[in-house]
This record gives sequence, structure tokens and C-alpha cells, in this order.
Amino acid sequence: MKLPYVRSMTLLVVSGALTLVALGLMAWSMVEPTPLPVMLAMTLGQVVGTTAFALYIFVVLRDIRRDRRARRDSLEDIK
Amino acid sequence: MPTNPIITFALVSAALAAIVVVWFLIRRPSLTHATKVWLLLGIGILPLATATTGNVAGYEATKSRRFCGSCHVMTPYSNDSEDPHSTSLAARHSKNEMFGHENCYACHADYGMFGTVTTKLGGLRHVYEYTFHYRNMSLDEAKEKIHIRRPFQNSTCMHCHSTQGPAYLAVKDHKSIVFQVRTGSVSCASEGCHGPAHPFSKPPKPAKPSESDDPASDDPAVLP
Repeated sequence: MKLPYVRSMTLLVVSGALTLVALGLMAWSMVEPTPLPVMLAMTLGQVVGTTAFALYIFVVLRDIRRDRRARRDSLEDIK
Repeated sequence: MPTNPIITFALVSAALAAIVVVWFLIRRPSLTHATKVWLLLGIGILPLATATTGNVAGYEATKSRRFCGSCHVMTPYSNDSEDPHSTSLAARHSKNEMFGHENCYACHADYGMFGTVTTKLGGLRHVYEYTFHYRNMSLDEAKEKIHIRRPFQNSTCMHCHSTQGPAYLAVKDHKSIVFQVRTGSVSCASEGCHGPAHPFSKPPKPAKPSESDDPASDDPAVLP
């Protein structure tokens, strides 16, 4: 199954938005250390933050791979 | 401004990360190498620093009396601990400078290698019980219904009070039942010894029918 291509900028915008949500949850738990905020920060906050970072890593790795492929193709054209 | 340096560090990291991310979301710069390095800071390194220190701060927060008392059914217990005039066992422990602000955790946490883990799992059960059974319960009703899940373990007391010091053994009552205390057949926190730890939560005792009854037969200090 081939995944649809999503632009790097779109993915990074989603990643940034998710990061803000995760940061908000974590900051809330520190400002108001009661059960609900602390549990949300330690569960949902961690999942959302990790997803955001995973998206960023995915974009960076995909761009690196694409650049390498483009470089290799250009070298083959020269040959 | 929080005085705890861990929380301060976490909040500063979160603020810096938020600045970088908001800058990216508003400006939408081209994805150059420099932009990606900034995003590595804003989406990766700084939030990771926030998460790490935030988890430590969150874990520490779960040990505080304020955390335990934030569920309304625990308010009387928390208020009793904070009452400077209260002489209950819980209130006396809350006056200890070393762990007074964490006296709920100090006395109710399990000890041993996996004590912290089992305590936290028990805490999750508390959250479950509160959410689905006690959330809308009145304080008066909760005071009657809430009870400790299993008898209070003497090993918790013996973490600090070893039962081996000369001052402890100088008390005749201690010396006479030291074996039972160590094996747990007599509870330190029972009425007649040092308890109950939260006397306001216990129903008033009926008057004794007569003086001729065998005092040992209904001694609440002896656990079944």
C-alpha cells in the first residue's frame, strides 16, 4: 500500500501544532499539579509530543533520502 | 514564579520551544538546513527537556499532600493534617519537617524494591474509583463509605520507627508486644495504640456495656 504524499511543510505545521498542544499540557501540569493535569501530561502529553517529534524526524529523513536520490540521479546523468 | 528549579527549567524550556514553534507557524520560512535545525530545537530538544523535567516534577507532585487533597473526598483528611491544633496521628506526622508536606505518601506508600511502582498503580486505582464511584458523592457520605483497601501495614511505620531503639523498648507496652508488632498481628495504628490515624473518619464508638466484659475479646488493637 502506498501512502499519499504529504508536503513537508504541511507535516511540519501539523508537527508544530501538536508540539504546542503537548507543551501546553505539560506546562498546565506544572502550574496546577492536580490529578487531571498531571495524568494528562504524563499520558496524552507524552503521546502527542512524541508524535510531533516523529513527524519531524520523518520529514527530515524523507528530505535527506530525496536529496541523495536527486544527487545520485544527477551524477548518473553526467556519466 | 515557581521556586522549584526543576519546574522553572521545564517552564523555561517549554516557553523557548513555544517561541520557536510559533515563529515557524506564523512565518512559514522555507525549509532550509537552518530552519530544520531551529525546528529540531523547537520540536525535539526543548520539548524533550520539558517532558523529562516535567515528568520528574509531576512525579514529585503526586507525593504532595496538596495533590492527595485535591480530590474533594480527601479534603477532611488534608485539612486535618494541616490543622496545627489537631493531635491525630496523621497531623502529628505532618508536622515533621523532613516529610510533613508529603505525609500522605510517607505513610501510605509501599516500601521495597517495587514499592514506588505498586504505590503508583494503587494511585491509578484511586483515580478510577474516584472518577466512577466517588466523584459526585457528598463529604458526609464519603466519610462513611471510604475505607483503606487493606489493613495498614506496620512495616510502613517501621520504615522510620525500627522498634529496636532503646527509647522505643523503654515503653512497657512496646516491650510487651514487640514481637506482635514486628509480625503485624498488632497494628500500630489501631485504637488503643497510636490510632486511629484519622479519628474524624471513624464513627463514634458505643459505650461499653459493662466493666466485667473481657477486655481482650474486643480489643481493636488485635487484628484478626
